[in-house]
Amino acid sequence: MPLTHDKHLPRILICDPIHAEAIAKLQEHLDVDVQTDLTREELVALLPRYDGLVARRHTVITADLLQHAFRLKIIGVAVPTLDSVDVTAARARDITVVNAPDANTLAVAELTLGLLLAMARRLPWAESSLRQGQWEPRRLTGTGLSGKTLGIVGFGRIGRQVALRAQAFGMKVLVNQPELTPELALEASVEQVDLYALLAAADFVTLHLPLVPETHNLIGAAQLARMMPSAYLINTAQGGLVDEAALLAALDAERLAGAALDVFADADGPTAALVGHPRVIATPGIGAFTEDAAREAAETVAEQVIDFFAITQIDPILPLRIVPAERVFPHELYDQKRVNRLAGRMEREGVLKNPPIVMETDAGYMVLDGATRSTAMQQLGLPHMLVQVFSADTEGLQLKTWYHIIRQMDKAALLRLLGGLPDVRLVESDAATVKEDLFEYGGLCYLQFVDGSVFMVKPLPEVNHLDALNRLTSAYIDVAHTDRTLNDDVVVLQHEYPDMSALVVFPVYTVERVIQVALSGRRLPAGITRFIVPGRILRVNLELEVLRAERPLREKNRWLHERLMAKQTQGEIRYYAEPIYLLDE
Amino acid sequence: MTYKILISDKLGQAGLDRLAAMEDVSYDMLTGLSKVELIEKLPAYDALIIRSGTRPDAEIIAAGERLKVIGRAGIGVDNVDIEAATRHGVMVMNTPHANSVATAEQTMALMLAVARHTVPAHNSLAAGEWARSQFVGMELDGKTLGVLGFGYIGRLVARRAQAFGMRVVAYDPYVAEETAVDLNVSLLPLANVLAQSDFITLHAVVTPETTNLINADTLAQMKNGAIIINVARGKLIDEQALAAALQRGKVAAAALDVYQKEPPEGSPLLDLPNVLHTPHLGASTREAQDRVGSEIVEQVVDALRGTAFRNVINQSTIPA
Repeated sequence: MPLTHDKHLPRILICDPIHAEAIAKLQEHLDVDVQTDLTREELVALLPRYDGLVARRHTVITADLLQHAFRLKIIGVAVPTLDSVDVTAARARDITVVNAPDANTLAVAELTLGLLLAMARRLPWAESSLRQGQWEPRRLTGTGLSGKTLGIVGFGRIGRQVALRAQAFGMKVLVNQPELTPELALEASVEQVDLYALLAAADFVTLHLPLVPETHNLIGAAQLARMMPSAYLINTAQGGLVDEAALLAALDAERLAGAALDVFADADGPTAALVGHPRVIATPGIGAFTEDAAREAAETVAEQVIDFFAITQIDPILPLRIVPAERVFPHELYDQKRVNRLAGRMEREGVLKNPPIVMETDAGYMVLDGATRSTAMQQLGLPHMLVQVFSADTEGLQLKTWYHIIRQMDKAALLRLLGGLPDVRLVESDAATVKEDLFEYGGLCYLQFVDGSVFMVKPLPEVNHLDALNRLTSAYIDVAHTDRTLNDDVVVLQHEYPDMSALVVFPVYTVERVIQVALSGRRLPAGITRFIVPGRILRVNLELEVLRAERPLREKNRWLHERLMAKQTQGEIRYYAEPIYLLDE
Repeated sequence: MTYKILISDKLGQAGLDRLAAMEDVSYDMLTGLSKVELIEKLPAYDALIIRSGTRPDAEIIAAGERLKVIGRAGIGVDNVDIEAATRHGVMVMNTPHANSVATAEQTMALMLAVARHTVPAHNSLAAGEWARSQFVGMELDGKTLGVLGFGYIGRLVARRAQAFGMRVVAYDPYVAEETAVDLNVSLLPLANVLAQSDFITLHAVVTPETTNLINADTLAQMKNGAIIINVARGKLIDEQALAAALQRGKVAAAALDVYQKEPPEGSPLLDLPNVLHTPHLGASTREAQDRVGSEIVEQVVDALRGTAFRNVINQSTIPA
């Protein structure tokens, strides 16, 4: 262990052997110790010194162990599963746990095809025959794959990769997966069937599901009996999925042509009768055992740990953060012309005045306010972006809904315009109940005219509500003069806007709903959501050069932190508790 | 009229079924005939269908008074005296593509087996060991496959390898650039293919240029730790040189289905732990055998009827 440590850098302990490239990567950014032969006592003694822990499956991270982890903020396990970590205990201590769920996908998919082909071409027996000095190609005739049917039970990440490869061999693929949508099956060019139909039709059956009580012994005597005597079974998923006694009986009775197994019910090793069977290929749990998978897992985890500290290591005096620009996404539509104008102005001035307001989600940073600004920065090709960060439970954060005032447009013309849209219809409604009706019947919005008449805008069946709403709002924004208001009293508004034609009232959105929409990749219309954020930070005037520079995120955030500290010390940060009116907007 | 066909080596059922369904053809399958017996029987037949067992030499061909076609169910025609056949106006044909899919599949089977140590892992487990840490493998995804000889089989292999996320490069001086481009494969000079490839697979025919294509010199140009697969012809590899490269670790592993001499008694490659051996099984699937049988039957009958002349090796014998 080095004697000195950079006191600014978070300290990381790597306590299981991980790929050397990942260690090197961690060392570039963090203060790393590698101690892979620690006893439990030694680990308990050392853990309080560390901010992060990186392990594989060997180190079991229990609640007990975490009691000693006073500084620990993140645990990275460089394996696809989390069964070696007490995740609940970690969360209770506010420790983030990350892993590499996808790292073994290709390794397992490739082994599956490898075993399938080895079985079809009888490779182990071909090899031993030749090594015994025999030359008997005729006795070792194999089976072709082209034109055969592969049945995939469990169509998740691994099953899909297996399907892609099998299709390249000209195989037809049947799948059995309870929640598979027809669209997904179509997209993957596979046919979804029930388990028994799959077993009866497949020349090869491969299993790719997790072991849970419902899947235990999924393939037993009854299921094996459905398979063709010429069929082969492959299991690279979980041992308990197959009833091994039933499998052995089916093989002995020649009701199954062969089996290839990489996993076994007894984790300590399979029964000799099964692995020594003349029509079984058995490998000792090597499905995820590739150097590539180990490297991929370690690198994925290393990156997550590095990012974690790059973003959070500094206890911010203000909730300002520099984040990767590609992680920032809007929740509402924006006007491309305004984006272009702003991008041009920012380029000329070379500064970002006011940072966009974002909310941190699992998928990145959702812009609450500042879609135009954040899009302009992305358009300028800046790798990083300065944002003010809120979380969904920030106190004082409120979401209100803007209503739209449509001005200088004749009622009949407006009704014609909106009534003529393809995916909505306008229904004249009662002003007294329209608000409840909107909520109850799922209208998109309602129009209240100055003459007191009210029309509910309803989407036609099978129309995506968001798409319809976006088309509706852009239709009137394009032709009429539109303003925004939080007031829904038409009488009051008429005094303010004498040329007003109608008010468009939208249902009230919740923060959760907005996040849902944004995460699904859709966008709300521009100018409906109004986030009221406490303590908005203005006039940061950050030089775009800082964001553009090719320096690690961690360094930029540390620089930002120092700059804010200096400003604070020099009394250059001023806080106003009062809500304010600005007259130059 | 009825065409009479003699089948003198064992032919798959699929081919026999096809013949039985044809009204203008009759056949006899007589295997294990001596040369004398063959010379005695042959004058009654219009065509002879063989595999590798029957060796029609000049004397036999001369005896075939009515003989118009010799059909070889398979690729290699070294057992036929083609010159004599040409002299007697007898067409010699084979089925060059019937085995291709089986060969491409065997290539992928060997490549995946070598990458994951499947056969030694199986042997170790069958022997009662549980030694998984000895069998850390490599993935095909993201690796480069070099195909030496980019004909029909090479292309079938390329398509399968691409589905595994491999980048495919090829060397073949007789293939047009566009063919490779269409298949998303880069045609490169031999030295570049050797230097870039993590896996090298051979799919060339044996000619003076390709004999011992893999030799001390070409081995030296390969990436350290490359893996070699040969499901094509044994004569493409200088076995002494490959054995030396495998022992040095220059070549990490090899999978061989064909040998200079078959069976490969005394080959220096037999005792090496990092070589996977199979006894010339590239074309050995039931499907391929069926296809070889039905294709040769169709070709021979079409030629007798004069309706089509496919895969004729001595083209000058094709009737005008």
